[in-house]
Amino acid sequence: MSFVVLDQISKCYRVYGRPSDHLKEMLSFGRRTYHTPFWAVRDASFEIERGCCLGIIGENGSGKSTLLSIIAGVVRPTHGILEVNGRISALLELGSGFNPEFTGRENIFLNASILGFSDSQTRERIPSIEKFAEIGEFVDRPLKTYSTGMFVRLAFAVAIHMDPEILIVDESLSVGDIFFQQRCIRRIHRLKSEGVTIVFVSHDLATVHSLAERTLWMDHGKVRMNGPTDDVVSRYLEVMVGKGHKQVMGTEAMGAPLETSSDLDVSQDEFGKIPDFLSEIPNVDHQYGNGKAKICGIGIFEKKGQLLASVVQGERICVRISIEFLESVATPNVGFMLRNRLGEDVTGTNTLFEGLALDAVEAGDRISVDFIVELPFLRAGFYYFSPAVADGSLDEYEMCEWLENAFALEIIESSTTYGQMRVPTHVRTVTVDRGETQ
Amino acid sequence: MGITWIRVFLYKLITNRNLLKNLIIRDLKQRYVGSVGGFIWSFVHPIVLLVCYTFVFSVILKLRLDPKVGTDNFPLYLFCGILPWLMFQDTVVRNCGAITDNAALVTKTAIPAAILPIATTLSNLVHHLIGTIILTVTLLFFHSINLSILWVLLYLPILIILAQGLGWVVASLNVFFRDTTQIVNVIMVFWFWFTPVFYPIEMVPDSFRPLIAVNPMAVMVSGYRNAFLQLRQPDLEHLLFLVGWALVVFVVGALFFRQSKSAFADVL
Repeated sequence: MSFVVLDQISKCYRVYGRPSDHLKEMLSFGRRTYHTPFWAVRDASFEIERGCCLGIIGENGSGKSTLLSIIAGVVRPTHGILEVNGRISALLELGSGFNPEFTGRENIFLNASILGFSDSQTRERIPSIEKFAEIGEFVDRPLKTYSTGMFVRLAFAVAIHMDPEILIVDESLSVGDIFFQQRCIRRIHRLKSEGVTIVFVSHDLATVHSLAERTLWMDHGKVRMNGPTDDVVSRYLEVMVGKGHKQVMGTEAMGAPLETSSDLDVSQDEFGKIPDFLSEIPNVDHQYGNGKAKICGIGIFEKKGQLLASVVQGERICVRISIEFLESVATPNVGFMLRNRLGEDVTGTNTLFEGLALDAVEAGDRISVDFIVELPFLRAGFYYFSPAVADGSLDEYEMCEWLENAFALEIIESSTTYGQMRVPTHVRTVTVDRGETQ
Repeated sequence: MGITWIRVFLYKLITNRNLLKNLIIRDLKQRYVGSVGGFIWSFVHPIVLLVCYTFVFSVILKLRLDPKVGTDNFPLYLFCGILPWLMFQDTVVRNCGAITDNAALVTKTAIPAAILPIATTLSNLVHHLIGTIILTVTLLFFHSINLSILWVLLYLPILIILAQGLGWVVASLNVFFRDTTQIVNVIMVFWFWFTPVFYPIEMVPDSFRPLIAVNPMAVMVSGYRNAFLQLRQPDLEHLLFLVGWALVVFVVGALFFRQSKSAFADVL
């Protein structure tokens, strides 16, 4: 008997323009409707075997999290039958019952009681939870004093110490430091060997690969594929990468580009739908410069002009940097540095270096500069862009503004990468000598 | 059908009793979290109230009540009435946030949503009991006390059921319509002044009597007073009236909550 059976499960969300529309509709007793239906999940049918580890993958908005909420019993399906043969104790988001004002210990008790534990059962587990979370004396301090890493460690420690029959996790393993991640994954392997059923959603295909024996691929609310992880993930990547290629071939020239360096091989409407001037900077770790220019926005886009948060290695992307000059600058030079997770410089470039000399600018001028980059086959992980504007030549310049780690981009592997990157390589053999047996 | 619901409801309450306990503790701690005085503040508030009433009404205004109403000590008279009122008002007002303030619990965990309003009400009950103890001690020193105070034990459950009934409604309304909290606050101001807390029911002109007569809180307040100040035994008619109100409100509220809770996770 399967642990969880989903039969033709669908979930329709009613989207209301305003919260009060919801009330209006309720008060009209079905005579009027104020909502537009949105089907987050449609006709999902599958089974989860006891002791199985199921990964759920899919693009943003494909219904992964809704599906997880339905399995966890938090969201009720609109149609379909959900059969659960056992006790589900789910924390959809690690630490979802946590209250920042209370101490770690108080939160452990509350969280455990949400999962149906008595206080004495919790007390027995406290030492082991503390040990796993490695938060030391912080266990008796309010959660608001914790770092993000400590918070996640504690939340994860509580979740796995509650003897779950099924562990339901919604992409939270990617948080926390790398060592803790490793430990979580080892622990999940152990839970697996103890026969715990695990269902998790992740964007990190490497994690899915290492943990899940079966994978479910959600696409626009439907189950696109359900099978052994190897098959599903490789098919998924094929389609994701294929999508990109199609877009390159489908582009045609149209409209005027911004200033481009001479040898740029880019059809003109590729990246055409990006706003001319960006005014958003997702993050600033550190800033310096003489203040003659202000970087107003940075964005990284795919061909269709969609802002990216993650991209498959080897893709072509556009880094747009928008600048407002506060004083006149004679020889402006715009560029960026790309760093990896450890803060090491991976690569960097600027307009002068690429052979494009920008014209002198006056105070009040606003420009956007695009760098069309063929990403190398970098290993998977997060990479950070630090945009900069300088005044001068490559050798002698004055920094107008430098923004540290302004934009984070996750790179996803399309194939295994050994070391830092995969380099285009051709292989041949040269026969020098053959053994005597021949 | 109704019996099954009650059985399921009670079963859920029992299986989740530890969660309920921890939610109540959290709610109590939350009010004073980070403060040095902590729980002592729960005692300070009613005592300060009592001292202020005494100063304003006995020292400044020199109000003397008609001996007919049972005591000439106006502050005590007031305190007996305001005690059940505050329990009622706090419960209803704080229930407005019972679901919305705990959105993470409703959308990310599989706990029964109904437990949240109940926890809010029961944590208010703790404060009510503290107030009751202070009143009892005060009566012991400045008035007299006898067994008639036990009648309160009859009124208290009715008060809880009545407040919880409204609590169900406002807790789920607020999920869809965040103005609920404000509206409830406004209604409570009206309701308070149309309930004989600051004045004896006997002073209400005849033309307004019907308004007071249908107000369950008016009956509740005078019931509390009669018990504390040993005025009168509760009469059956009043008790039935209160029980009727409480049950109707509770059942309607529970049905409303039950009907709307499936949409909580979608809206929050």
